[in-house]
Amino acid sequence: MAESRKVLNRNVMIDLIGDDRESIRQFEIDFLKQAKISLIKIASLYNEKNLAAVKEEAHFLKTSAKAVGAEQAADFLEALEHAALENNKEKSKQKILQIKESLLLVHKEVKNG
Amino acid sequence: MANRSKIACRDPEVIMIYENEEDVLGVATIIAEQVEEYRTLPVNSKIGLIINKCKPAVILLALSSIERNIELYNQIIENKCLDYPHHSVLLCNNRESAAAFRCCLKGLFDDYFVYQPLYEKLRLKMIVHNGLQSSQTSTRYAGINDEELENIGENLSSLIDQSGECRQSLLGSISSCKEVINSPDSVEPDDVSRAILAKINKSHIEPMLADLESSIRENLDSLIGQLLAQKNGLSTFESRVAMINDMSDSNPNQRAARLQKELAEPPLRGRERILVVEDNVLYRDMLVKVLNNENFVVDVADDGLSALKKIKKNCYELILMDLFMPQLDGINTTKQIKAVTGGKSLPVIALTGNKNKELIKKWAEQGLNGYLLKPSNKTEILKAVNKVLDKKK
Repeated sequence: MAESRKVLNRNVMIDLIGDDRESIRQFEIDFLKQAKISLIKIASLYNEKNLAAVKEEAHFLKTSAKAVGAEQAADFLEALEHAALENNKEKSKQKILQIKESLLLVHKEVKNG
Repeated sequence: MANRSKIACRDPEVIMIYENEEDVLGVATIIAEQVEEYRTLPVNSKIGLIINKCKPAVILLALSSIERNIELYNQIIENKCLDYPHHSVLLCNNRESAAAFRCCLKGLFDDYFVYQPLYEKLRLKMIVHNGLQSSQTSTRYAGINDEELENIGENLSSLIDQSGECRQSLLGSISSCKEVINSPDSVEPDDVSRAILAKINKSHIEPMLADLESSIRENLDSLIGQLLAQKNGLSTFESRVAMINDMSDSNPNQRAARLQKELAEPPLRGRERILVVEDNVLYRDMLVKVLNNENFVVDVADDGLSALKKIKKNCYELILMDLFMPQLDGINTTKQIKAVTGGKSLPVIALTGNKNKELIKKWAEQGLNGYLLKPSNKTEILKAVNKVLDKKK
């Protein structure tokens, strides 16, 4: 279940690039910057009813979310991919809101170090 | 009839060669309206001699088929009866227009005109007009008077006239400038001109020449590097670009000698050049960090097209390629790699978020040497990379 996964699992990054705190923090900040732009794009595409493009963008952000260990956001992004593929607007909207909430939690964790 | 006399002119500027007189009556009448010195000739064995004698500026060929026209035209040329500037026009029927177009494209005829059926009377006149204007031998053609043209409205006529004059004036002005520039007797530059020329030289010409020189040097270095690597039987020459950039030797011989020395040594494990092709900058940077930590020399590209450009310019040991990218996706980029490396195969590891093994297997058949699920951890990435590099060695 998406809810049972961690908001930010730092072991993922350690497994990927090693225990380099400074680099990990920089990647987390870069992820949040990328996520902000990407989420605005997703919302805009949703408003244009372009669910195919929403799916593409969700896939793009999911790669980054998985890589930095934003597991919950990654799961919501995958769910958004499926909802968009099924052309399910209501579910897509719900997932976009969940992604937003999850990213805010990631932001909080990064801020708190 | 008035036109008949024109058609029988003895010293024509325009001639039309035909097989069946009935076929060309309509065309003949149109041209006769336009050109005083005009003659139609039935094809016969003396046609070449007639042409050579009167040297018409425009020759229209209206035999029964394109093949017949080509044969006749070739024959006249081979017999050296057309050894002067002229304008050749192929007349054909509608079905033959593609072949006629091809003939003109290949430079056999100067133009073609579909005369069966005959629709574009004015187009034919335009062709003949252009032929006469451009032909160096045409001296008697007076052109087409406004009275001969159909009324198209005062405003439009005026606009056409003004625009035509403007264009001619502009062309004339360009031509005059060229003449002045090319003239050996052009005016000697005064001090001001010299100063301007010197300034232009310093601000534009010299930097441009310096850039050009630098570009040539870089390309030559790259070429020498590739040749030496091939000569030494090396499959790679790691850090080649970095090495070339590091070189401070200005003497080409010294640079070449240094390159040869560097390349003669086999590359160390972990110093191979790897290209990471991934549109997600964040994930790409992570991969680069993982590979850099292992001392690989890593280069990056955003999409398939940029990747192909880099592959063409550089030598890589391995490509890590995202499968879904803008511009050109991973599968199609992989298919193109051999084309840009001159047939040399280059191992490619696919980066994919898709867990469907059947699908990945299908992709692998397209020339992929392995795959990494995104995001893999450091151990998985290095395992896949080393496996492919070991296999290559």
